Amino acid sequence: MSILIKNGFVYDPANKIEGDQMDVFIEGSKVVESLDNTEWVLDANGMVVMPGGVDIHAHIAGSKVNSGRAMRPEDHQGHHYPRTSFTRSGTGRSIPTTFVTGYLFSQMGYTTVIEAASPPMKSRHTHEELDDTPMIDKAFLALLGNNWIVTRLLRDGKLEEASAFIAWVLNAVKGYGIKIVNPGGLIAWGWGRNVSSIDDHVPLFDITPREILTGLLMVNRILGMPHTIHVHTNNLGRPGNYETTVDTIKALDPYSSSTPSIHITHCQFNSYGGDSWATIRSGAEEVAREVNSREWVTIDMGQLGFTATTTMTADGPFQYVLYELTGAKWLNADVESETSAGIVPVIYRKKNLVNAVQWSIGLELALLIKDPWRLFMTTDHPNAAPLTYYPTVLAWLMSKEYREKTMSGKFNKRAKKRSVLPSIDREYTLQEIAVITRAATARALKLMDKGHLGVGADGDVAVYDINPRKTEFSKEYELVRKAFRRAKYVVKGGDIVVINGEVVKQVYGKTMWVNSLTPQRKEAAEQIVASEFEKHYSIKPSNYVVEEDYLKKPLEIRAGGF
Amino acid sequence: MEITKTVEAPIFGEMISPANLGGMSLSEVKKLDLQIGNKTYKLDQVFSIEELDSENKLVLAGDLSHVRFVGSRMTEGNILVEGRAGPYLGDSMKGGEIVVRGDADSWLGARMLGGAIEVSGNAGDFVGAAYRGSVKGMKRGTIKIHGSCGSWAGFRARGGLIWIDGDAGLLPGMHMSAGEIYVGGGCGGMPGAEMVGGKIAVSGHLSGSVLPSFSYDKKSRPKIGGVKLEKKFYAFTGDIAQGGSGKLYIDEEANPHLKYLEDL
Repeated sequence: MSILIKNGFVYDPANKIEGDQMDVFIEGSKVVESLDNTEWVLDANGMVVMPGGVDIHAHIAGSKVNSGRAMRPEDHQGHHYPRTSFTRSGTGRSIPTTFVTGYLFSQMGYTTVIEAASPPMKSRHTHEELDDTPMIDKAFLALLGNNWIVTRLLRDGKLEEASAFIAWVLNAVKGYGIKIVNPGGLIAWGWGRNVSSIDDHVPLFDITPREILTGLLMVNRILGMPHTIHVHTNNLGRPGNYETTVDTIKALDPYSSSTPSIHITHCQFNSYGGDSWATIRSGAEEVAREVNSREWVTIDMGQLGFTATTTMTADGPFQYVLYELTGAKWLNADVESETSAGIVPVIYRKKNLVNAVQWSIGLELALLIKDPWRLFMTTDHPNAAPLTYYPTVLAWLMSKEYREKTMSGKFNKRAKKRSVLPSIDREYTLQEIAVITRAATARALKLMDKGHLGVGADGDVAVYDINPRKTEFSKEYELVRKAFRRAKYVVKGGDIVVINGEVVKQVYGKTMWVNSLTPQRKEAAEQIVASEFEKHYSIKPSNYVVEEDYLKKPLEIRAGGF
Repeated sequence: MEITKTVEAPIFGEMISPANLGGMSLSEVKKLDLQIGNKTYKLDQVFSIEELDSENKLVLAGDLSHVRFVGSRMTEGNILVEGRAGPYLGDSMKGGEIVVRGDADSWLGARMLGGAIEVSGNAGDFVGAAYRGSVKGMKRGTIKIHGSCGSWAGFRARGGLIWIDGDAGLLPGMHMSAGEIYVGGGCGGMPGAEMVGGKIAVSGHLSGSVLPSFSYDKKSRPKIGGVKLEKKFYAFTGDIAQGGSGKLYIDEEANPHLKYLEDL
């Protein structure tokens, strides 16, 4: 299919194009220089044209997402999506069914989504759901920060062996990167305990979170992974935890480099000041200062929205705390020798001090971090807000007036004094929005063909019905929300999939995975697997491996060493 | 209006409430869409509608046992069902009145927020209950059933009054946090399991004993729905397993097997 997207205001930060009125040509599944004859012309006159959105952190597939669906029938009530001639039916609000998840992302102009945490052992399930999710390219990050075999190898200082084993695991489960959740803490949770700082001792393993972090950072470098280590810090969701976040960043100072080395995810949840829930305040300034001064740190927001949602994370001990705080239903799970997980439904309220402070922190981080290329927009879907809140978050970033409006009325009065948000005047430009939602995330994941519209890029384009020359974003924030909620046109891999905010074609994207298993590493890893695997797992290594032909549309990406 | 079509598939009657139909002309009402199973019909293909009653009153006749969600979220007016009512009658209703001259099905007045429902026959399970997974049961309003009802009446109720003249099934008032339930007849067992607040009175025979997580206080005459009951009841507090302070009253005369409590 050849498509001409005509006369739009193009925002393509990776190619330094900011709002120039120009045409975009797509032939097959790629962006091309020009077209001889066009089958389809999409008139984007007076509209914004951006590369397709790239979400670096969302929970959309896998056993915990599915358990969340089963656990919350009330989340489906009143949220039914009937079948249309192009789409399948589905339900759900904070945890929609796989089909609806794909449609909702696509309607907002997103074309690539990374499932942020899946235990390697459960990856077959994750792939089955990812294969079921239409409209988007996808990949998942494998939870490796609390893996017993990895932790033992790191403790013994066997970095090469650890690298080989991790390469084997990622190859076996077809994962994209290394996710670290509460390093050491989840091992401790197996005994009902947790760690409280990065120098705490992990029971029975004779290692500290600091050693796990630095070890996996080195492993990531040895393997030449496209993405950095993706870290959910210790002490997440506890007052005063900004210190742990700062410690985590400082712990990696000796290993600093000019390229990104660590991604600290849903930073809102780990930038709390104060020393109890009553004295909670924002620690965003302290965290932002550290991030600003180190070009090798990237973070994402994890912005909260005032709504009912479902929290789901591998951080089992934190979910237990949340269960005790809310008294809501709670699911706790243990994945043998790999990780834990928990699910708790929550309602974030404006009048609640803690929730209002949490809301302020996410925006503060985004507004205080100077370089938009190192800050990404997420809501940690569905933990801080469901994906349907993305347009609202963008409107908050683009309009101080809208932030002030949210901070009025029922908004907790004490919370306003606990953060510097009311004094921040910065408003994001449309170009910066394009950076934090697609260009920077694609760059952080080293997805070379995504997040930009240069020749050779993937034919993933979103057209939003808002005129940047006529709209004053700071005042007309409702237009911003409306435009980003339902894209005018979305092109995915050279197919027109959304017109006027409605899905008109169901397509399936690729599942990307990283292969760094060189023959030497394979040999080393097989020795470790032969001697260690059956000591720790109840299944055979052959059952652990997800074969490539099990995936619907796999896309192998080879990392350093090949 | 009278139902004229016999179908096996569920009919989704959310819009059948006086406030919704009140502002429309007869021809507009006849052309409303009605979902039956996976097909869409017009309202007058299913109901014969001769005239609309006065603005705030709606009379439904015939066997409506397949019509769900009648009076859903209604805020005012009256609905009279002359016949059998379907499930989810008065779902989340905020005000107004629904009268059923016949039996009602399950989920009667589920998640009710106000208003009144009166049923001359029996009702099914989950009267005034919370929907699956939700913690929001009936909050305000009254449900009066002259016959009997099924299990889980008042499941997770947060307020309001459920008055049952006949028998109740298993677990009336399970997990309720406030509100009142009166059972005029017997009870299938385990009244008030996991309750943390509110009042339940059983005026007939209770199958089995009271749950062990209830502590016996004394004999008393409770007041339910503003009425001081005539007879003497064994009074309990519970459910202690949930740290609750709900009140459970079991009739003394009809339950001689509980007499051992007096000796404790």
